[in-house]
Amino acid sequence: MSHCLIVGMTESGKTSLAKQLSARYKSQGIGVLVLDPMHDPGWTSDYQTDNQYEFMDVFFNSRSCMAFIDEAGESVGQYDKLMTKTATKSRHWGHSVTYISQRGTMINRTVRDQCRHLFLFASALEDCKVYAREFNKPELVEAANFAPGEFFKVGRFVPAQRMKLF
Amino acid sequence: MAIKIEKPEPIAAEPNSALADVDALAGSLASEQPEVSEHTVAIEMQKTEQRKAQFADLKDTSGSSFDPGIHVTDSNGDPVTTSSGKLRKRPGRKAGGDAARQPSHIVTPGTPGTSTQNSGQDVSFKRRATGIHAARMLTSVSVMIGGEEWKPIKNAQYGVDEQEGLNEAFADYFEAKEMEDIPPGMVLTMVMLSYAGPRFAMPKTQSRVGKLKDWFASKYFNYKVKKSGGKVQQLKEKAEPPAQSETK
Repeated sequence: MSHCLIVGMTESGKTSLAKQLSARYKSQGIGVLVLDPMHDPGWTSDYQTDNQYEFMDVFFNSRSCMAFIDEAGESVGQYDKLMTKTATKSRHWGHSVTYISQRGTMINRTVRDQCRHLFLFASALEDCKVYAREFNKPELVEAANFAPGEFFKVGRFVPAQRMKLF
Repeated sequence: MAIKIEKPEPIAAEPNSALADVDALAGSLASEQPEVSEHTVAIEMQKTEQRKAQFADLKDTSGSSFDPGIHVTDSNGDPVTTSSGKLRKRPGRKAGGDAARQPSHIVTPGTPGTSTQNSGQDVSFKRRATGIHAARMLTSVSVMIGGEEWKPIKNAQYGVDEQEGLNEAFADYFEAKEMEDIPPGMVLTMVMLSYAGPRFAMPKTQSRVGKLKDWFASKYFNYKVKKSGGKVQQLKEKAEPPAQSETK
């Protein structure tokens, strides 16, 4: 249950954070799998693809990897049962998954509930209210006024921390 | 379960701690990585193998055998077939079944996206080949319907080669539009045209089509007369042949 959700507007810094995390994991010897429909060459990974079925094949035949799913609003979405398994079942494979999306509400509730950590970058006020309710942290509405690079690190059972990426 | 969200207490940002934070974040998140539940993985693998064994003898109308990695299954894990009796495939490019499950599918660090980028030339070749095939199909259907006059001209003296021109144009189009297969609608249209087209030149079909055409023309004429209202007489007079009006 150590999945993460990184959300924020375009250019807010969410993918930069994810890429930095992927590089750190890689340097620690942890396998990194990336599903990125935009073919971004900036990832540091062991495996990267734009095809979710290929990704799922590799994902469920690997062990103890950190996986990044960019544009999760499209690939996971609201109704994709197969991709939902990356949140509900992958812990048995020792995987941790980081979902990156512009809006958390584009991803289905089951996946959001499985995420123990939230990295909240600048977002619309209405979206911030949703995260404030779901994580029971009223201060998250402040993210509506964040500058690019600023974000909240939120855990289910720990206080929110405000941080700067750049 | 209402919570107050109007007046949150501001939290001060921690400036210039970005890189250190990412390191710490990665460390803390990695420390929370779950353990592999070998028994669950084994059970899942067993289920997949059982499913494969269960449907090992199953072959669809095209002779393909069932593979859970390639074919769609319903909520019970049973294979789903199309209306033509074929096993319904998962959308998107296929990973190639069992071969894809080997660790060798993980690309080396620092070369992300290799698996998709290396196949670019093959894909381009396939698209061009499909375009040429479509052009040849078009000319053969045209000759079948229109006769010898529609045969592509090739004149070395003037440097004319219509078939080659069509091939190139279709290949360029298919490559530009990233089409790897001829659209099924296009194939269906061509097959229907090649079947029906030549038959319209046959005598019985021509006479029947002529009758049908006349019937539609008379219906259309009646409709126009009705619609014109006050001009009915005028139109009728115009429509009547001059010989009849003289006899009256």
